Amino acid sequence: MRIKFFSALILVAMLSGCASSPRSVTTSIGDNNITTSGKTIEVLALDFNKATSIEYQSLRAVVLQELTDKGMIPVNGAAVEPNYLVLFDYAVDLGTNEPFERRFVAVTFDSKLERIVHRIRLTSEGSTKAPMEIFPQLIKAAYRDYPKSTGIKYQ
Amino acid sequence: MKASRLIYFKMAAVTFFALISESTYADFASGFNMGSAIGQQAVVNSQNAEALANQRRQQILQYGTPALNRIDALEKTADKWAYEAAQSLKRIRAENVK
Repeated sequence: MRIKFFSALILVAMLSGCASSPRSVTTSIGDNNITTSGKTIEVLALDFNKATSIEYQSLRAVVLQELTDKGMIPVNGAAVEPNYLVLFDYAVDLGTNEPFERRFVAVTFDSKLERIVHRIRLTSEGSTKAPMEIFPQLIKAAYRDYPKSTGIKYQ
Repeated sequence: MKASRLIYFKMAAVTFFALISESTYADFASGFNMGSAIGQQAVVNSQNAEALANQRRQQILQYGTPALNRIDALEKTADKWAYEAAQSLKRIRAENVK
């Protein structure tokens, strides 16, 4: 009888663990008619203060890689008008206690329509707060289904 | 007979008050120790809180506005920043053509 009770207790504890909050949530919304193949892009910083940092430049390379994998062509926006501008930013909660909250935000702006046509927002929790250790993976996860509008997705 | 009764009564009274006062003293000492421990813990907690607050202040001084608040604000105003970036690039291209 006692063994059954403790088994049930362990089962409840395990199930409650399953119901705990997800480690990563991506919200991806956008126009359904966005095409990527052959479209030109320029990637810029949403936070202008970060634009010249090595960290931002390294993460920009990751975003560019994800977009070129989708068939998009990077251009120098100051020389050629790109079809889309992609602006992104990233941040880590600077609190002292784990888990740390990490956030990645990106928008795709249509140069012709002059409006945002796609938005990505990724929120993640974990023990790593060094941006270069965690954001390359998070960016890859955020762009996995791009440019599909997937709504809220748990990873 | 009466005198001996009086002595017994006095002895009983002294014993009774001695026990009462000892127990009260023990309670008082125990309470005092507990209070002291709680007090010491409170001091440690407040020192930790102060250390954390100092650390937080240093981070804010180093990084400016707390990072998540800043990214939230930028996300909300992304339309404006994307439009301005596009316009800036247009201006630069126009100047390059001249």
